Amino acid sequence: MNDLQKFVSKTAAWCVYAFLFCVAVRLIILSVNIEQYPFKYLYQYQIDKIDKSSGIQTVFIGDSSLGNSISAEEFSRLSRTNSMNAALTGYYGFAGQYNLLKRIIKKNLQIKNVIVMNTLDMMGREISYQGYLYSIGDIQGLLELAPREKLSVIKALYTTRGDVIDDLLGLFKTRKDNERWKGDDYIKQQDKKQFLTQAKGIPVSSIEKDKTLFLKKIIILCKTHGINLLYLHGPLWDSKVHASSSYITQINGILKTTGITLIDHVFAVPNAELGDSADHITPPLKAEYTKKYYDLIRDHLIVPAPDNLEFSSY
Amino acid sequence: MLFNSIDFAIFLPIVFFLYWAIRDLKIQNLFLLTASYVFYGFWDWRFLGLIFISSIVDYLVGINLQYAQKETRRKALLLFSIAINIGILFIFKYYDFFIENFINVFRLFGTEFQAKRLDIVIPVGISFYTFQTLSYSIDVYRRKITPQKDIIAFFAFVAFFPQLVAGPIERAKELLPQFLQKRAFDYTQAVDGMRQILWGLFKKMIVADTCAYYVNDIFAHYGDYSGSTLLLGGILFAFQIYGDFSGYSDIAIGTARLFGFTLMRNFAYPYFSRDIAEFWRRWHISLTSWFRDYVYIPLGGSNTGYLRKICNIFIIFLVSALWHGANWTFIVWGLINAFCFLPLIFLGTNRRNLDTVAQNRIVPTWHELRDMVFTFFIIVLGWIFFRSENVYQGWVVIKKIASKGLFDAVHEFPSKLIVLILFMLIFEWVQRDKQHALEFTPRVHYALRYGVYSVLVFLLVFFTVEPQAFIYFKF
Repeated sequence: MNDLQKFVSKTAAWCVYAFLFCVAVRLIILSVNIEQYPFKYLYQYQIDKIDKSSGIQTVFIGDSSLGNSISAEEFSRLSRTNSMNAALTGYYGFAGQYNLLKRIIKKNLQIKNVIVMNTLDMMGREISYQGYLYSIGDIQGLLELAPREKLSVIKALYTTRGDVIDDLLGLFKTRKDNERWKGDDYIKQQDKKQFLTQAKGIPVSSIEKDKTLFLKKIIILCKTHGINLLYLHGPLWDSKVHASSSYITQINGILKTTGITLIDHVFAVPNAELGDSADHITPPLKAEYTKKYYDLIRDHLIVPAPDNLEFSSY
Repeated sequence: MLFNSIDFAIFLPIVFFLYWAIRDLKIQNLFLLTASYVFYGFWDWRFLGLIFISSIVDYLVGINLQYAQKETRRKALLLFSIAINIGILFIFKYYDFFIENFINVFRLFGTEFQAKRLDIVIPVGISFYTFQTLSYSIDVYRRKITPQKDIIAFFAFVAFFPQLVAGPIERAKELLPQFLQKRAFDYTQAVDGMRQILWGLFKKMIVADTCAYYVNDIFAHYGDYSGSTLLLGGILFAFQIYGDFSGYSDIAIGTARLFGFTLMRNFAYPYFSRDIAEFWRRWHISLTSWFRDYVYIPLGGSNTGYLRKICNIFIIFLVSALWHGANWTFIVWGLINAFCFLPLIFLGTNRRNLDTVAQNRIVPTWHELRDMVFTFFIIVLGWIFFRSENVYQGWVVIKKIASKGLFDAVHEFPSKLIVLILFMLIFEWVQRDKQHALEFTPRVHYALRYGVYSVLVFLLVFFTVEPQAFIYFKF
């Protein structure tokens, strides 16, 4: 081997080493849970709820449109099932919801209903491998993926690097629980946003073809455990709903092809009932919208015979 | 193409493999020339014409100087080269500045001077390659070197991509012969080059770009911040410009070594200087020595009367300031440095600190530390004007620093950045007698070496902020 070959092979070996080293450090940081990734407080909050839960019969997973419109307590009362609202945010996507559901099912084997609820434009966002990464739980979560998906999750290790130095420095600090974020079982809303102009519709072209990848995993997971699975659209500003009819038709078609039970009604919300976003119900109306959603899906729910008259909610 | 870009990460290995696959020296040079033009063309291919003009003019002037017997003809040829090179530089870099100032001066006397600004983009690296080719013509004129007949080698010398856009400004005497001799791949050189690139990337992408984040904010809102925050801004800019420019130089020198070339050293740990004269021997060495050899010494240097000496010092700092750009802030920066330099000339102490500070010792003495800190703050004073948008802004910043606000709490203390700067400084301090901070002797245990590389790679992957263009590109 001449000098040039030696140099090239050594440099290549170095690049491989550097890559593996960075992956290893990143995984260690993730596994000891010191990383301040987006919406970590919310994610930890839901994990804590899951860990404390028992006997859950109906569980909601989804994004912030769910977090702001379904009260687990109210839904328990209405449906006479032990209910949990495990809403994350759009950042986590179906991938994060899938990981969360695995945890919930592991802890609550008697689950009867899983309701997935996301805002309409969820189908237009890229697959959230970063959401998968942050909610992965254990190495099994990586191993179960197809090679291409594994690579995408590893890629997310780099693209979602955040502030690793801060995380490492955080090892030496006592962390205080930040409770300021917490509202009514979800992220506290900011000031109401005013929607005065006519909304633009969600373009059909924005639909991600592979978007249902992790939704299909949710479907298989529920099928394996004999769980009744429903899909709901989150509430949305009426102006935007009316402007997005083509988009809604398209995504309903895509969702139906997955075999999921789709409740295709969209609650078109007037401006006055919105909170800090076009798909966030104002907090005082959370119970009211819970009732609306309950009425929408009551016939699709599996309600076991109650053991007692008290229902717990999480 | 930026050194800290994906484009360059793809470009470099391709050029490296193809370059070493070519056996014939002439074809290798032609390939380097092509690669260099591609490298420059990535930024703006239209300005390749300027490099071509500079190259062809100095090539022909060099050839003609060899055959010219009469001194008047030789002088005319040199003046022609200077006129073309400085002319191009003037049009692209200084025309608008002078026109604006002429208009203002005439206005002061109540006369309207009619002239249009050109408003043209300054071609990247124009000051660097212009000075490089100019030094060739001057050296040929002075008969210090023989003119180069191999046009490809000469063009490749002018456009050599590692140092084309931000130096080091190479002398033909040193670099040109390297294009004429067969180059063999040197494993040790290449490995050390890679280390130098790694250190350069750390200084640029971690230290300089993170500093830029704070500096840009502080200087953009200088009216709102207290003296303490503004002083912090000045200090951080000192590290930003050092990390940026010396980082670029390290990457350039390291890259050149991969191709079997040795470029001159451009920085020698300037912030460990004990006086301003030592600082200027350690900062942007290729430019400082250029001005010394082609301006200061021809003017008489230090071997003249006091008045002439003072004059020469001011001229050298003035041209150095103008080299950086057409702005009064650079001129004030140059004047500050000149004023701080003069006492050393008068006291005859400008060559007192020629050695490395605290040689053969780990820690400096209190005197050395005091001198280094004092020199650093003088330099920071100059950098404040250098960084400011205009002289007024620089003046306000200095005034606020010199007020009670100096003792206010800093707006946002960048603790992580300070840790990184300290890491850089401690590392460079330990390695200050080496060419670059990652130049390890075999005595250094491999675990330590690899540990350092790993930390640097980790930081480069996980700590980089929004990439910034190199500051010196605009010069």
